[in-house]
Amino acid sequence: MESWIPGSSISEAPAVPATAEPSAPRKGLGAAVRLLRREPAGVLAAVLLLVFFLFALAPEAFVRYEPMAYQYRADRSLDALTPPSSKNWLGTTFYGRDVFSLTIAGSRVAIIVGMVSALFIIVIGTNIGLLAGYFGGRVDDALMRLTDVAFSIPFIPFAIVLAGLFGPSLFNIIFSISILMWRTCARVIRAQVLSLKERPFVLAVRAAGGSHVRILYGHLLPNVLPLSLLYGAFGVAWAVIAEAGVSFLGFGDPLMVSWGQMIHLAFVTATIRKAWWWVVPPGLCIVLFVVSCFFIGRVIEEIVFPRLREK
Amino acid sequence: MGARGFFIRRLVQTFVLLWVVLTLMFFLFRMMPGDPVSMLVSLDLDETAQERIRADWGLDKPVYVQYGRYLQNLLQGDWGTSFYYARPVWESVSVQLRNTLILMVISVLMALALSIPIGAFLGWKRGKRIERLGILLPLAIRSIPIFWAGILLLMVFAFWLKAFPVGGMLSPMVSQPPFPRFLWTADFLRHLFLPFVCATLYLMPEPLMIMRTSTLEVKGEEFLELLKAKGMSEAGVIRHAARNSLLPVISWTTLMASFAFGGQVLLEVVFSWPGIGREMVLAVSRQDFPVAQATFFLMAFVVIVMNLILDMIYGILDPRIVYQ
Repeated sequence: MESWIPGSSISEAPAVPATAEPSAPRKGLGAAVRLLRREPAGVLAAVLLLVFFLFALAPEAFVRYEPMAYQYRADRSLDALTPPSSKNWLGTTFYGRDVFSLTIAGSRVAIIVGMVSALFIIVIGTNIGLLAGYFGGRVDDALMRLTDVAFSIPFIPFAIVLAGLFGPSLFNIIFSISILMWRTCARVIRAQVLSLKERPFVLAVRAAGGSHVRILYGHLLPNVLPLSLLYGAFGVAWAVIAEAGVSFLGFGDPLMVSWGQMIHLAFVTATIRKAWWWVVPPGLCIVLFVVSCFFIGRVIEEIVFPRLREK
Repeated sequence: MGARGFFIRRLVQTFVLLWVVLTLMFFLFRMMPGDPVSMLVSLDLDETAQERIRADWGLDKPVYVQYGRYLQNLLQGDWGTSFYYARPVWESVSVQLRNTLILMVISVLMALALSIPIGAFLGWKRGKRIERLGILLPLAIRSIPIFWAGILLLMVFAFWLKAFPVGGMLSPMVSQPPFPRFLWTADFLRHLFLPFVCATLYLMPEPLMIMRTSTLEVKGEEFLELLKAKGMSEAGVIRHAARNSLLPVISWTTLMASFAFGGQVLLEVVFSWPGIGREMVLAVSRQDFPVAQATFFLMAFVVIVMNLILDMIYGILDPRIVYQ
């Protein structure tokens, strides 16, 4: 799932051009704005993500009903499985809830899982990559074998076992994503550090008596940070897809509305035969959210690797 | 270091990796909150009965003894007894593993067969409009949750058009020929079609993009210019370029196995495919931990062993790797 960057020109760790100029990210906001102007898809993605963010922040501002509230017909019977209407824009579920409100409310889980997991992926992946690449030798060996272990554990099964053993919760999902998905980030950062540490500016700091910590976090980190950010953007996308998969299997947080869980409920109540309005909106939201993250990642990539743009 | 050294080192690494996964699993399943005895018997039983069951299952021994026994039993092929079926775990799981591999192997092969030529073509046409459109395809595929795509296929082709069955691997209530022969029955192929299409699409983006990138790198090489100068057709030149850009795809295939299982679990649930992925989901929701443990280990095992095999193939295809 995370071995490759969709829509990108770099595909594997060794393909990362070692010539990525450290000065590139320093061009700052002006360059970013110009890039966004040149990348209409990137702008659209940013707007979409902003909308999802607003949905997550204050869902009640956008919906007419409380997501978990039951809908009733005029004769006071439960309004279950009705197709889209002016009352319920996207129809109602088997349990008589408003699909539109649920879909808007589902943004919150996506945003929380995406952002928190991406943060962990960046922090763990960048640190392991930095330490392995910089110290080399035994440290490198140990950390890369650890990465091999992370690569050999299939994610979805791992998340299921974790949810089965410790109970389904948002925390467990974020934990299982964070503890495995740093692996790709770590490999790429390590490859970059391997080439960076031989550069004159690092050698100069070392000659001047700079400590390991100072070289690692004062000089190497700022140079790999844009790359980490790139993996952060993809991390958000992977995490949202992963959360949806785990929730679809019924191991999502039962206390929170999420897109994957909506599809799960439609599936287990055997209503996918009829209730397309219950299945299509949450799935479409996942697709839009993930596509947006990938496009944002592409814009970051073009800032990080300006050479790709000129090709 | 020679070729033999390389293979031996990879073999040792594989065993170490398997042992690490086994150990992780042991501690993971023992970290579970609550008393495992409560899973086996009702707590209404009196103290002595509970103690006896605890002793029967070896739960009164210290952890390291349990760990030793666990490894010993696994190596001897004793995977325990399912809490749910009350039968040896291996009996049901071995059949399910076979079903999983049937679907997975043909999907992986098809994905490679399709994505390698498409990737080579896109790499060759770098910068043309068709390439710009073409690289959006893997992006689109990777953004669609596989289980949702499966449900949409079911909704259209099974429920609406009624062209394919809604799930399973073979029609129930009909006598079916035994294992290798049922693979050629129309009934099996009809059941296979939708999950197969879904899995193939899901597995295509990575090899496609890697093939494209590596074709790009090969494209400037002189031997291709020579072929062109000799008057070879463009298709012929692309074929020569493709053969030289295949290696990165093979090295990626080692990661594919781990990745394939994630999608496989979801697909098996959507299409009720009787494989170990679906069994694992059922086992976890039934709290049937021996089966959950066995299915999880089998998936990791297949991933690790496939990695070993592909690494060996890679070593044979590209001797430079071995002698490094």
